[in-house]
Amino acid sequence: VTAPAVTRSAGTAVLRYLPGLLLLLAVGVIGTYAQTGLRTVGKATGTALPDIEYVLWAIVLGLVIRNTVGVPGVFRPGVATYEFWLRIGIVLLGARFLLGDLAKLGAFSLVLILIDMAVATTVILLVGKAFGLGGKLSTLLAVGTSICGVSAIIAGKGAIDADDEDSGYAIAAILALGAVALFSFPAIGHALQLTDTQFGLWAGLAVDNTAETTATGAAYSQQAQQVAVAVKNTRNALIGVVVLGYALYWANRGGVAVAAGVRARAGFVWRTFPKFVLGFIAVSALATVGVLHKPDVTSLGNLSKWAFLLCFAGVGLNFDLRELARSGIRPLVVAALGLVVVAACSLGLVLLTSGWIS
Amino acid sequence: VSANQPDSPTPGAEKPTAGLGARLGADWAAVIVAAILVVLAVAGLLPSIPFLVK
Repeated sequence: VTAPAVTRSAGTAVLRYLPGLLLLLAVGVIGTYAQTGLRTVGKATGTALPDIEYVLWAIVLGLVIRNTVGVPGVFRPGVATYEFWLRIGIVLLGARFLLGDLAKLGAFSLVLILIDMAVATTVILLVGKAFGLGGKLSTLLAVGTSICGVSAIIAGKGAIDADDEDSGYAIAAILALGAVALFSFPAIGHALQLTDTQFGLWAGLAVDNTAETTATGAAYSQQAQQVAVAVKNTRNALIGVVVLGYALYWANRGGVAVAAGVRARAGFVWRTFPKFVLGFIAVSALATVGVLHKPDVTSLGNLSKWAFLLCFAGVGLNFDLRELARSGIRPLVVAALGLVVVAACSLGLVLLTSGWIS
Repeated sequence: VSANQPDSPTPGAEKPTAGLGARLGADWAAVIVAAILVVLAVAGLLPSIPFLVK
């Protein structure tokens, strides 16, 4: 491969992604101006206008574009990168945490996550059975609700040999409910006057997909977003272990054979482990030992916000309501019942226990 | 256990069309990009770009 060929290839890649990236940026920036503009109008006119966070503006704007004029093909590769920006944002957010606080929050939330997981799994499997859903579809919904949304469903699909249709339904349901949580959780949180930490814990425990969890936290406050991301990372870290558990269950029930031996199973857990969680912890460790100084933390914090902004715009721009409607109502109802139960259970746990963590 | 089976086009969003292997690759890519940014910050070479909303 010659140097000019490599240059041409890199240039083609940039051109392929650039339009979509610019669209993400434009939608995100318009979202921020919508928030600040509304604030300014409110102040200037002395009107008590609602302070709608840029997160929600960006997502709604993206959603409107996608579901009205649509996203032309030239923008799609760049728009589809939004989870990449989410991961970068999360890793950089690690600079805002001291490792000790992270360990404390992780250990505290782990107990709540395990309780939630047991509740979510039980409810979804029972309701799924009552609604006549197949066992594998119910399993995928349970995995998506209790752990890590889309990533867990994709890992689970391969592990239990579920078909494409089942995983499609499960992913559609989880994404739809993530959108519902994004708009309803902040309203409920304000109505209940939850503190930032309480809300962050709740969002991190109950909102299924990482992008929506981050956005839900950000729609409440920056502090709530940080707590939500830390708690969600703890949930994400469990993906391999949980999916392996389901794979073992399904191995003799029409699933695929699970490799024997601790080494092979540990390898599976490692392959499915979200590596950005390691990056998040590593950056937190650097901040803790003093490698990162205050201006560095500020710069990285700002970049983290920019990365999240691209992600939030992408959440809306990727959400196609028409395709969602085609996926059927039963998986959606089952997942919705799961979300309601998990949200109520998580909220109760947070209200009961959040006094133990500052 | 196979974690890298191909995934089908999926309703609701584009992101699920990527297989697990691609997603894990994107994981590492994000970590590497973030690591470069952290190194630049430590070296004092990262410009501070204030966010638009305080």
